[in-house]
Amino acid sequence: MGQLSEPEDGDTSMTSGTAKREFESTQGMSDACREGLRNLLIACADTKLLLGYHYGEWTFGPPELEAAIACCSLSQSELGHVRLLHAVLRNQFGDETEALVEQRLGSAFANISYLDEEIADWAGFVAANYVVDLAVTRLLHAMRDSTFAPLRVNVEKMLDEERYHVHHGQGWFRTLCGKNAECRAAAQRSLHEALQAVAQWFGPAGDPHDEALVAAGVKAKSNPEIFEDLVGDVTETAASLGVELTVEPAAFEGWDPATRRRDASGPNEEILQHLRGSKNAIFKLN
Amino acid sequence: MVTAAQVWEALKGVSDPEYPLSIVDLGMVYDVRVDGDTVQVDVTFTSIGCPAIDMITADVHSAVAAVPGVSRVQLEVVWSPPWTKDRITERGWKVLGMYGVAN
Repeated sequence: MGQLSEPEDGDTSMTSGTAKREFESTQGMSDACREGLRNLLIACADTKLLLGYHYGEWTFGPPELEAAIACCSLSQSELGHVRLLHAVLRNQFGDETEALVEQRLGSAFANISYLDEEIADWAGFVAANYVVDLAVTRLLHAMRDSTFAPLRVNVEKMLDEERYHVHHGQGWFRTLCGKNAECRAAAQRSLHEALQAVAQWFGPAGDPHDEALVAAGVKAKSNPEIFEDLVGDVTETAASLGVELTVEPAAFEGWDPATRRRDASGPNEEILQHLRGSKNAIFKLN
Repeated sequence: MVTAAQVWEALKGVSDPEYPLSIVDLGMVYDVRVDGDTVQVDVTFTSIGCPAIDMITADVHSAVAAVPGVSRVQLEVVWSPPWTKDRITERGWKVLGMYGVAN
């Protein structure tokens, strides 16, 4: 199955077992479920925020003008998704956008770590566009039929828009792999690095928060299952292009479910200042 | 007594700045409910990252508030079902065609 196909519907249906309770808000959720959901929404929003930043940065510098224009559009939609996810966090958990974006240390961010630093070259960008972006999309896809209504009503539109992101990322990956040995090697190297970071972000099997979310029907699949599906699809595409991809098992000792990391790393301060617009704070409209 | 038809008519005066069309012809208005002098409008947008969301919602507020008899406007932004071009009205396609946009 290619990345552009929908994951098997049977895998994501919430209706295959006994009917699960519908949640109009977080009221009635277990503590683990509620905390796990907040962590996950913040992790998705943080990753999309960083994707929006990097896409915006790559509005200048891609190898083709069309790609530059696409980067601008990719950035716009990711930042729109951040606004939407922040609205859910505000309405359901009382989290203010100001606090989520402006007042957190870099080490508190829960984005996929591949986005922590500036992306060095176009192959690195393509890996982010292809698998980092796809990781969040697959996670959201697993919540398409969620029992948590405030998220479910927003997911389909986000998935609609994300179809174009994976088209772009996968298309460029194919192009690089078909160009010459040097480009293929760079694409392979970057994709491998991105997948390792994605593995860390999805987290370990048996995470209590993740299990609570699946049990409550907030998510259809566990994070390791989603990651396994993603790796299967990406390696299949790579193999069809003559590229062998391996993903080493991630280590999870000391893994923090709030930051989805084992250490106190995070986006570098310069990137945070830039995406926050810290130098232009006095010009904000409200 | 305010009617839904009056509100729909008022909304035909609100345009999306990216298209030469009203938000009604673009199919962005999902529902209008009138309860006495209170009007609730459900609107969507063509994309979640639309930079004109604030501008259009402000225009919707103003247009509906100007309908005689309306004293309260409640506007809800909804994303389900997602907007598609299938929601554009027949009149909308005619106008877009005049501007060189193909169906």
